[in-house]
Amino acid sequence: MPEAARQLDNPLVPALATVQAVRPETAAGDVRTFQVTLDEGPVFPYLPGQCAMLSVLGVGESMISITSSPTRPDFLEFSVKNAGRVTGALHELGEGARIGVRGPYGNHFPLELLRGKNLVFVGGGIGLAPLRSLISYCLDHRADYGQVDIVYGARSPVDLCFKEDLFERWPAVENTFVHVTVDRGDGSWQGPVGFVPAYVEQVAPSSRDAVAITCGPPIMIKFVLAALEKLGFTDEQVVTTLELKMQCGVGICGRCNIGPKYVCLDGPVFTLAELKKLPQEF
Amino acid sequence: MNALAVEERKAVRLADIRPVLERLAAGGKLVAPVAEAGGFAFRRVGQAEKVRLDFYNTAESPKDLFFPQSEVLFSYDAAGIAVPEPAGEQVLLGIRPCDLAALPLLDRVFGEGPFRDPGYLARRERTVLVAVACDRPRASCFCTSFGLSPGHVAGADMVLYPDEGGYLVRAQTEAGEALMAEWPGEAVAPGEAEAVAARYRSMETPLGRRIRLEGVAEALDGMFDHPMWEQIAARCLSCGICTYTCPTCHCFQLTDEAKGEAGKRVRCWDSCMFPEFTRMAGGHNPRPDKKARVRQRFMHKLNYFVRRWEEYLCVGCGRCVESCPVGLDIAYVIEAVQGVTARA
Amino acid sequence: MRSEAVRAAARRLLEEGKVVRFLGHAPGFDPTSPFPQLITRAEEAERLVLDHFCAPNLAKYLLDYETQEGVTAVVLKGCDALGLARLLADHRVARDRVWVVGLPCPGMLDRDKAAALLPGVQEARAEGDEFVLTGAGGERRVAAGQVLLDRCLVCAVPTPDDADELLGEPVPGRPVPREEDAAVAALEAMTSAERKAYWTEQFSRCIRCMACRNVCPACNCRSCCFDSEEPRWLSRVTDGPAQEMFHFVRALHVAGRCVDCHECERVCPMDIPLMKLNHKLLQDVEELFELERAFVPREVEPLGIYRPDDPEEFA
Repeated sequence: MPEAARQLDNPLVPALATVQAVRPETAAGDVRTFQVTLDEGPVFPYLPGQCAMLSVLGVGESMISITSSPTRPDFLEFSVKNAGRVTGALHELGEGARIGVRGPYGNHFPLELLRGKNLVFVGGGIGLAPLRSLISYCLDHRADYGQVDIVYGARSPVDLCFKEDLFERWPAVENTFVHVTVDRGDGSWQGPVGFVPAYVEQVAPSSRDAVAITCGPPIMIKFVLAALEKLGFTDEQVVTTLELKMQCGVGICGRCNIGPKYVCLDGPVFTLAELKKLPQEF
Repeated sequence: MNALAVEERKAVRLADIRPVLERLAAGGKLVAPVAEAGGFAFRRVGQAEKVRLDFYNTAESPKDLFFPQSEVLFSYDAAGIAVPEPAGEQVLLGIRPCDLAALPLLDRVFGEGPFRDPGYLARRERTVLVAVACDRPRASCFCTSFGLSPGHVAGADMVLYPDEGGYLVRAQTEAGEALMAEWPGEAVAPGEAEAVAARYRSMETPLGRRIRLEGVAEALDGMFDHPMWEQIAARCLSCGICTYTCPTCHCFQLTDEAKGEAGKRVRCWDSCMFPEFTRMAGGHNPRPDKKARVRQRFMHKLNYFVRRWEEYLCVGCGRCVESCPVGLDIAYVIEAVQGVTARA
Repeated sequence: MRSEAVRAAARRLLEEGKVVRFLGHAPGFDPTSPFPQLITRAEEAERLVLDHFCAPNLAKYLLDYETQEGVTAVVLKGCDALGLARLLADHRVARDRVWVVGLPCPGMLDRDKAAALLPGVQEARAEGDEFVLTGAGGERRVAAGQVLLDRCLVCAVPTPDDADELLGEPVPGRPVPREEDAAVAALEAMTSAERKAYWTEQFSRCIRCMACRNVCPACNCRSCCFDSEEPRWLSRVTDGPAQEMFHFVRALHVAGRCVDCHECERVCPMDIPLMKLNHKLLQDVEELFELERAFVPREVEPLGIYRPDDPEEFA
């Protein structure tokens, strides 16, 4: 019989947390970033790529990637796209609101694999959120990495996320290059126009001693992977993340498995080589 | 913990089990099989005469006693979050070998992974398991295919062996011995008790249904894209009977019930057979059709779980055989996999 | 019973190209629970069976082929054909895309009753008003009334009236004694508190497997409010009011549309007497709308029309 369980905390019960700040992330208004602190104790330890379950009590939970970096441990940040019941309810919340947080869940970006390498980040839309955690982490340990290229795109200029990072913070760091495109421009947009995959080919980062990390809508990832292959990236040199419906976060509830792998435990970060070994059911 | 071997534990004969049932029922902690419309069910019992030890397998497995279909995880209000008190003690009388064998599988899921479920573990710890050796297998039973038998009683605190018109009762743990401390009945020599136990262990299910399991998990490694799934899925009604009556299925959803400023979060059973199960907020569904869902269910039981825990997630209780309205049960699927391997 | 006939029909229809797929029954792991079998090639016809255990209604499977090319042949009993009529009336299936192979049905056996009469039963054959069960336990002769499904005991429409071909001579309907009237009368005789207690007790057993809904030919909506998660109309919590909510909403949704096929009751693993509810509503529809045989689907249903001059001000 299992040993005494009374003292165990239930992993499915969230810790109470307070929204300290809310930042509209896109001009379109469908993405907001929530800065959150836990009501009791400091922020839990985590690594870039990990997620947490956010609760709006009375509405439900949603798994959201942590977009802040563990190198800045005073708070957690979550960038949330309004896409459903729970995320819609989150968008209603302002500063001081009480939410629930549990986590961190999942694996994390393979920091050992990245160390000493040139890094190519390829993000689309809200897909920049998990990458942002890793980018901040790497730039905070700048000496550990080679050249950093960040290729990012959104549907239109109003859909661009993390503009302060993209246009001010990151380009200011040495040996770090940011390339931003939009699918469709508008009157004010001066930058490149075109889909992310084609733009990656145009930017043409070298695959030599490099690892590419990509995150975005499934259709974008599909074509980005093809573009990276053309640029000479092997399956072991490409890292991506998966997003599936999750409810427990602890590998039990049965939704997020792809074959025997659970995205909430064994993911969300996979190398392309690992993904190719899984049943194509995601 | 005193570590007596089962052979040295107390065993008695009860010509009449009623006084014992009365004593248990009076304690208010008894859960036992009772007759219900069309079959049997494990229910909390206050009156001994309701207990039906002549039951055949209940429509629902007793997993609900450990992993309730609806379980409040916490309630909340303006003051904060409150977690309910852990469950009280209970005596589960009449659990059969198949359902008993399902518990270690659930223990792995809820107690041995990276996260442990305190509610489940508390209920396991506080339940005294009184097994009954299976003297009423049904035509649908195939527990022997999983290395079990009508006498497979590992994990029970105490076992009732129907014997000579009454019961031979044998303690297997300290908790079992404590429960039977004040029971009437005439003591039985260890050799005699072991002989009865051995007789049950060597029994076949009467219809002798045996399914060959060798190589099934391995064969399924390469069968994700096999056309077999299309055929199998064509029969499925997409209901959740198989998953809900199964003693080992454990998918769930979390749902919030709010009333004004207060509310609760409840964990409810869910089923991989339901279309909405994996549908994401944006509409994408990685298991969009019956084929994908049927495949998930059987792959989980016969392959994915094996890859993670080195055991099949099935104990051959036969409930899905009994209750699938369209005869699409796991035994058939195992045979189908064997058929594919045989043809290959 | 009619296995050879159904195989011949399937072979012929697929060979002639009249249909591209054929939905029948095949032996399951347990011969007393054959399952739906889809075949697409004439040589697969050998798999088919048609015996006294082929209770499942195949009509609803036609929805699976809604968006696929070609005509689907389907084996239907009289009760199943009412299910098809429901799908046709609701415009979920087009008649010219279905080829009905009708079985004049001598009645289907209740496998639980059969297993209770002869444990290990594997086969059954009809002999007059009796059935001979055979299996590992030997052979046993039982009266039809002991072993037929309840619904077959009172079947008014054993022969499909809209079949493209029939596997055998039409079978006359049994005079319907309307036993269900007694059950409904008993419910009506209860005080409302008693009735509430009765249904609460029945529904407390419900495990919400959704089999009743999934098998029901009247529950053919493209998406169902019970499944919706955004918004979530129905809580999954099984120890609260959602149990009654589920059953009453469903019963009212199929009121005036139920074809009286009893499939919901047959599939219910918890033996909830769902047809009592459906029969009550069928009777109400018959009485309130002066309708005979309310279970026969019509294009326009009593509860499916709106008229500005409705005598009920609530309408």
